[in-house]
Amino acid sequence: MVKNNNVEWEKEPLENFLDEHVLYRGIHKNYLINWSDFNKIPPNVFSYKKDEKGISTDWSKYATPQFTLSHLRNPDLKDNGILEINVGNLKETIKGYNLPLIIEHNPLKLNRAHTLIIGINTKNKAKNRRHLSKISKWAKGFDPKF
Amino acid sequence: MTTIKEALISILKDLPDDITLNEILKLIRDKWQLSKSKRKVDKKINDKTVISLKSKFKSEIEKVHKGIARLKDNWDSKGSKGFDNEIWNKVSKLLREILFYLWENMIEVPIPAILPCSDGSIDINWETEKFELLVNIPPDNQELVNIYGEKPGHKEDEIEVRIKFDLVKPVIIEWLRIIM
Repeated sequence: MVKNNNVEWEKEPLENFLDEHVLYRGIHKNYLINWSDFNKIPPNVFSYKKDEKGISTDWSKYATPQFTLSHLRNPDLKDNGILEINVGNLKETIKGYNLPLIIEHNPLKLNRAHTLIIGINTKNKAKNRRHLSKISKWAKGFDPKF
Repeated sequence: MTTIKEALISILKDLPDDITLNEILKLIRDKWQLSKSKRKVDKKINDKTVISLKSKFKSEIEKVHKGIARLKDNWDSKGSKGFDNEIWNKVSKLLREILFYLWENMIEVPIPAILPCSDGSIDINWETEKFELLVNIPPDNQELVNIYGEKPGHKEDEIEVRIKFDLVKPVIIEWLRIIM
């Protein structure tokens, strides 16, 4: 739903996130400086600063890996990779491991796809980041090229 | 597994007269932990391998340090926090003590990945066939260290704790001794 000259998007409920949907996240190459196995995703890519509410991702309903890459400060695969998390796998992992994670649509004026994964805090970050890394993979054709 | 009561009985019968309460408590704790961890460690690695592992550790840690040290503020282009020598020294010393202790006790544990986090903390990350362990060391000494570990197929061995930095070394060593 569009409001006010295309600048405010309606926040959509969790049930709109279908199992076949995907969440994309841009990863700067510096997260991988000490990581040798690019077939796996390390857990540090799901760290975030204290002033952030959650882990920023883009919802495939309104985004593609190219869209996510293009929204990065330096939109180049020489500096970034784009990972993806299948929504069905995420829901299953949350349920299976009883994780306190919530998928929350958080549209921004210039990014209707913006979605947060919230629930990670100082008490549970190791376990939650570990499980998120296990269900993540590089988006096809958007693995880091550095 | 020996219960605390059994450990207590076995210790009390041989106590010297001048022992202090703290010393008794330590004896009980050690005795109980000794049994719990079933310390019949297989001789999995020999002395030559230990020397080789230590040498590898030194070169690896230097390489990793170079990578981490060059990460200044905003290293991910999104306002991430850089790393100073204080947290690096803390992490490298901890890791050296844990690994050297385990190797000297013939427990072969690989050198983990040391990874930067955007909040200025550092992840120590093991992903092996036998176990997975993630230790997050915060930059602030007042903050607690977050640890999560699991052994595939052994739910009972899962560990998730938040502890003071001083306790990280004994907790990790003990957990690894139990699950290896």
